[in-house]
Amino acid sequence: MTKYVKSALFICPASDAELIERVSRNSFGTEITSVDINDFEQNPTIALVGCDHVVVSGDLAVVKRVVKLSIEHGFSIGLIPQEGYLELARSYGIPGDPEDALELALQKGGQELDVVLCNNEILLYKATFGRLPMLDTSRGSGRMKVIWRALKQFSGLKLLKFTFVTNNGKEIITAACGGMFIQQHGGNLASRRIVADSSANDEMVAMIISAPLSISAYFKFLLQVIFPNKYRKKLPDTIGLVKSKSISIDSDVSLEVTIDDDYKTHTPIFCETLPQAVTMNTGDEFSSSLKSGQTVKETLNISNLPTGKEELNKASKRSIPLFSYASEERFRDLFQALREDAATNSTYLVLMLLSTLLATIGLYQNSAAVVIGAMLLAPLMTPIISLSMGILRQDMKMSRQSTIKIILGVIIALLAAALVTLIFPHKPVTGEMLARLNPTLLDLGVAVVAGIAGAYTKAYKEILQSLAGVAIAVALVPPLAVAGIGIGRLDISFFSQAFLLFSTNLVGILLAAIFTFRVLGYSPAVRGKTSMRLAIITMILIAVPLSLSYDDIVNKLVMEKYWQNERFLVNGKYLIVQKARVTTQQNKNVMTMDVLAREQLSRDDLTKLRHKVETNISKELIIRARIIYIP
Amino acid sequence: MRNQFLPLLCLLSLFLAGGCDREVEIQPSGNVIRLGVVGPFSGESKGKGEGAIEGINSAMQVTPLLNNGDKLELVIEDDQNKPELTVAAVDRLVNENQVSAIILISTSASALEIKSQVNKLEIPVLAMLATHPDVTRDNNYVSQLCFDDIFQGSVAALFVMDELLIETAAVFTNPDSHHSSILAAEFIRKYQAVGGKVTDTILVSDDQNYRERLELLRGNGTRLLYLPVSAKTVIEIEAATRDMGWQPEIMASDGLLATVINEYPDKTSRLDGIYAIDFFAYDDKARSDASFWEKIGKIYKSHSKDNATTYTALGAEGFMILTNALNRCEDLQERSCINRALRNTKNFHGIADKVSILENGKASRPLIVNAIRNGRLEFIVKVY
Repeated sequence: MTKYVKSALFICPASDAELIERVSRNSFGTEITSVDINDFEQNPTIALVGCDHVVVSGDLAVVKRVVKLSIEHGFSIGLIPQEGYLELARSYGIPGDPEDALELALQKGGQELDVVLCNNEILLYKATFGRLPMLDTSRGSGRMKVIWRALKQFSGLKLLKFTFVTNNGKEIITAACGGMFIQQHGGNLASRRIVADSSANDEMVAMIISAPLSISAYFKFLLQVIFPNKYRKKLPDTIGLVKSKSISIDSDVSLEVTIDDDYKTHTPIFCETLPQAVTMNTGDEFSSSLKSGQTVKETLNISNLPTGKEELNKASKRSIPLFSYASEERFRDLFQALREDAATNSTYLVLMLLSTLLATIGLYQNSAAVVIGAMLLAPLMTPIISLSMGILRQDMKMSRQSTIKIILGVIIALLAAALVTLIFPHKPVTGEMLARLNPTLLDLGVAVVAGIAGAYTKAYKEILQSLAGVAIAVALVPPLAVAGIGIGRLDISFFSQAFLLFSTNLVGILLAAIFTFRVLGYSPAVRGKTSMRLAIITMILIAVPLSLSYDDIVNKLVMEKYWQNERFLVNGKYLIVQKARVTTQQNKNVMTMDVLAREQLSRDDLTKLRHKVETNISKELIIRARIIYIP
Repeated sequence: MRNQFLPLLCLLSLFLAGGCDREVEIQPSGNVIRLGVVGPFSGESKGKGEGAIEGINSAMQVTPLLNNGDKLELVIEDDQNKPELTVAAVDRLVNENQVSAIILISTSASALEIKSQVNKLEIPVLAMLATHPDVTRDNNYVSQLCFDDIFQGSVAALFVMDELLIETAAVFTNPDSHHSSILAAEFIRKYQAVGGKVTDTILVSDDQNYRERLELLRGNGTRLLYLPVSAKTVIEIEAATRDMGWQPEIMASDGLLATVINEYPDKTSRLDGIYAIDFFAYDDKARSDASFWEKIGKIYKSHSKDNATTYTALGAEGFMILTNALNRCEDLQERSCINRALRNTKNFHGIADKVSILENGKASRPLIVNAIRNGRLEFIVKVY
């Protein structure tokens, strides 16, 4: 059985005599009758007598006219794309070599393809409306070109309100900057990846909707475009995808719709699929992408699109913000979990009590291991994270519940630690306690990083196991226990310093978690700023004593280091300062030096030593010396 | 939002502005106070004089006027570090130039020579480099800027014993130099007192071949050479040990690097690894108050690409201490008042730490043990 058609009409501009000649003298045994498109349109039935295959070589408009006639008269089509219609050739997998293209065009047994009509105009590969940053980047564009285009298109980007209705009657009201209908997806880079599983005979028209809700989301999408392999599996956050037999679109403002980079119309627009309406000779790659006998259901992948009323109002009111926002529906599970975390229950109270007792005993034991155990047991992190989300989303109930839960936890911790201190007959001040009495800006830094980590782990369930590390890093209960010990000792300074450390951690985590949730796109469309301002002011207020404390510690460290290189010649005796430590006791700085000496020191030697040290220190310090005799 | 923060910003700006340092500009009074400078600006030791005068000039650019507006003027005399010339120079400065005080750059021999002369003339002298312990004895007008040789010799011995943990050392000394003799004697006394063994004491002289003596020292287990001798001799001894393939520890005395930089600049690398006692170190950690050198150092750097030497730093410090004394004296016409103020200098923030000049004219200041590396004094310890 012969592979090529016996006869075919050839539609080509009369001016291209060379091509007509080449096609007529083809080596595949096909008899060619050349015909003008206008003549063919006037009387197609006569022209098609004894012939059911048409080869066309013309511009896009001519090809579409032939396709339209094919729908009516049922002949098959072979394409020989003209120069300058690369996208058309690429869409159908037509070979670039003219001889190969001719051979393909004259073959029998083409593929039955769907035809998409948009406002009754044939759509061969794509139609675009609005702005489509990066989505319509040509296949093969270099990364630098993609980045440059993305930056250019970013300017003045705005979301507009659209209403989409699918064939099943599903109405979607959303905000987007633009969209693209895809019939053949070979032509552009991003759409090819997003609708890779579509085919030209699945009886569906695919529509990609671009809705970058924020600047950060926009640039994340840019990353996904330039590093496609890393983001292959997931639909980008800024994209919605609809597949349906028909889709109608309406927009608040009339938008230009460009079909196949050529024909222009305006919204409202209605696109429908005519299933397997034409038979066309296509390239091998294209043919293999076609699906046979599969029923494709209407698909709505629109979870990334803004749909709530507040979101829509916000989206259509101004330019896109730095960070994304979300309606509660989009992250229902997370918000539900955070609400549960905000509610006080007996488990929380018991755990709080146990962790404080453990921490207090560990502090008295001076055992870092026990204190770390208490940190792991402590449940205080969860209501703080909930409070941060409550503040961010202006959720008064969540904020109030989590605040109560935190306050209750703090009260339990303070009382438990104070009680243990009162019961203990001896009340030593251990190194573990002292370590929590000098909070500095560095502690605020730890709290901030831990807050970011806490919010991040909460947002992504798959990394929830890291929360233990966060709890150790930020250590909420031990400072509270030390503050409670301060109450038990009736030592205000002890209490206030430790409580300052706890407050530092609390505010640091809170603000960092708010910021993290904000960056991750959990803020509401409409935000109140009062709580945020309050949290920021609190942090600034806390940062002041911490900053002073930090300076103090730096000065102490400098002085300690400085004095480690000092020596004294006292009454002919050489004294080596081995170590110097500056501590604060009852608001006085005390420098304790370990001094190495070879000879017995008299009282006069020590007096002279003290005098020399005092003379050479700029600050007021109480001098203590521990003399270590070297044999 | 902006409106709420505007008053806060204004307040903050005012608060910060109030905290800014504002230097009071001194108006010239039209009077001139002359200060004499005597030092070696020619001859063998001219490096000391040239280095010191650079420091004095840099400091004078920072403080050209006293607090009362009197202008400071220098009258410079070259004595080539020869005591007999120093006497004549002092005489000229006092009788012909009517200076109010003198900075003496020359070393101990000159200072000892003018002791009785300045006592009679009642002219305060700040001896910059004279470290002999007797410089301040039996006179009321010569004050020392540096620590004396007894302190330096003791510290050297104790540092070697207690920090380097070396128990066998040989001492080289120049019997013609007060400085060298006293340092060597004090080192030996102290070193032996704390249990160290001095394996040999070698008297140095011109054109001496040290190789033979050094071979003996190596043979008898000497681990350190104490070299309170001239820079030239230190270089010769170091070269000899190098030729022998011997690497004993070497400790030298004050001003070694400065002299080598000035007089034997191509030999600076020979000093690498040598311990040297000095008044300062190049690394900041040795300075308790770096502000002293901040302005002066900038001026010095503007006309010199080299690191400041000990002589430069001491020159600047000496000038500033003298200026400080002049500012504290109520009657600048009365030289005894200037002298009293000078000998009542307390905790002046100098090049390395606080400097006090006691009533007996001796300086109380820390000494710094450095290691010389890459032509720099690298701080090891500071001794008070």
